[in-house]
Amino acid sequence: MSTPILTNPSKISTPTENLLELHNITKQFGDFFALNDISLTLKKGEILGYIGPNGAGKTTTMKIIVGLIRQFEGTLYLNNHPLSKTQNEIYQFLGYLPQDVGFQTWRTVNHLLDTLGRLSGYDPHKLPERIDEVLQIVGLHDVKNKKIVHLSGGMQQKLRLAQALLHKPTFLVLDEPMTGLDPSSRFQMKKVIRQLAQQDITIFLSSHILSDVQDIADRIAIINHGKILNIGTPQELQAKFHVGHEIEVILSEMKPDCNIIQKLPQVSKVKQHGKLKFVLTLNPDVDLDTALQEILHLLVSNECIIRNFNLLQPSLEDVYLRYVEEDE
Amino acid sequence: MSLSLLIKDEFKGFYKSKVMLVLWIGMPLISLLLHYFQPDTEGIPLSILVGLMVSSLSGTLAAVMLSTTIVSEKDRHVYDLFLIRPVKRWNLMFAKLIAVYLCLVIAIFLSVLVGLLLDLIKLDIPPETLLDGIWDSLAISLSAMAISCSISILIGILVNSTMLAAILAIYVGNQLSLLAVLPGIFFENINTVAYATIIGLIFTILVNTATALVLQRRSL
Repeated sequence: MSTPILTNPSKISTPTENLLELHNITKQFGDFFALNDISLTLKKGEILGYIGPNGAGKTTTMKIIVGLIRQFEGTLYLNNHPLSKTQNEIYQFLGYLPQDVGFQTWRTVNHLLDTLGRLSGYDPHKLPERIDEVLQIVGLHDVKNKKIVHLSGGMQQKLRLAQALLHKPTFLVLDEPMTGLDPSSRFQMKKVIRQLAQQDITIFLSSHILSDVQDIADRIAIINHGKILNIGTPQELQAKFHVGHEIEVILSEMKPDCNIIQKLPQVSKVKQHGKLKFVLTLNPDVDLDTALQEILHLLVSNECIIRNFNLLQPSLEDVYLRYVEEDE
Repeated sequence: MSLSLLIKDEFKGFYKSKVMLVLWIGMPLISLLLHYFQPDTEGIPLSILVGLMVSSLSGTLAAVMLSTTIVSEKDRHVYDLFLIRPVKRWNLMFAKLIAVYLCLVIAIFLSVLVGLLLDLIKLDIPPETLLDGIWDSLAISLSAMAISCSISILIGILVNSTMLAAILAIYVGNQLSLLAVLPGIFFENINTVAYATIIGLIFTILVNTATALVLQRRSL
């Protein structure tokens, strides 16, 4: 069995509260760098959202963590031990929801969970009770004896979560858990993930849709082209990208004197949306409060009737898109 | 522990498949049909003829099913759910081999048994003589199937197209399995049981060793 290449195993020798540490992980498929020197840490009990467009390297990172990809460069520590030394114990505390994993068509829900539970080393006598429990958690108790092939896509996704929870793991790696779910099931899935986090389960959660993770993750890592662009709390990410203030101005009507809006000295850039809506980017060196007063005064003194005057805060979605666009 | 569980599990999966239904019911049925529609088998007892025929037909069917199943399951990442648990890739494939082989053994025994009963009713050959001939037929059949199934597993791992896997299973797996069959037919002074068993064992071990080596470097 091949093992990961440990470039510097002595690098982290003191115990930390980190459950997972990735250091300078690189994974190449031929000439293509799926991951290019990425590093990140995950604290015990934390939910880390891992977002990026399709093909960014999210699944490759997760497959390395769970041991499905074993040939890579860099170091990976789980519970302060190198992955190669803890592979057998990892199976006990790690649950993985893979993206787009298929099922053997002849299996029933119960049969699949029974087999996977036994393979995980769960006590066979307690397994039927545990299967009922996880099916209850994910809302599949009604289809326990149904063939998996007859379940809808959303139900199969819930089953993927059920198998990940089966052996009571303390670390969950969820690759695109909301894929294929309708809005109500997405809400349900987020609720389950939140409940799991309250039980001190550490969660590493990927998605290509920011809204899937922004309200449940403690921190978010943005990845694109195999590189991590930034990691931080949602607030930190917003602050990091907040280089200039923007004001949205909507006029009631466009009078000739209102063209002053294009020539305001406090403004570095004007974007016009339709006839009456403007987004003004302020010069970085101006004082925000003073600039707002001055702009408002200029517009009013030019008899512009203002319907809306609003300071814009970039949403996390904007921040994410800007990071990704900037990287393209 | 995981290997025996996987074998039981795969066995459940295969015996529920339509291919196995054909083998377990269809093949003994062929014995009966041959008896009624082709009673003249040029002196070859029905049980021996059926044994050889079933090994060829069911061996091909099972080999194609094995290789295409592996390609399809690889493509759908079915094995990921197993490999994130303390299960070795080799165990997964070996469990498939054993499960399919067991299904085939059952199919052959059922067919030969039906043939044997018909022979005992129809022919004047003493049962001891009949059984001697059946051992030859069984040794050849079981060896040929072990070779073709082992090669099919290797094909399934190496190939990514179900069409190519099916073609290779028929034209490579099945043809190579004839190594266990032909000398016993063409050379009279060869001990067929010993020859077929040894060739079957050697080839099966060689191919499975190659499979294990491939799986050390290749993910499923």
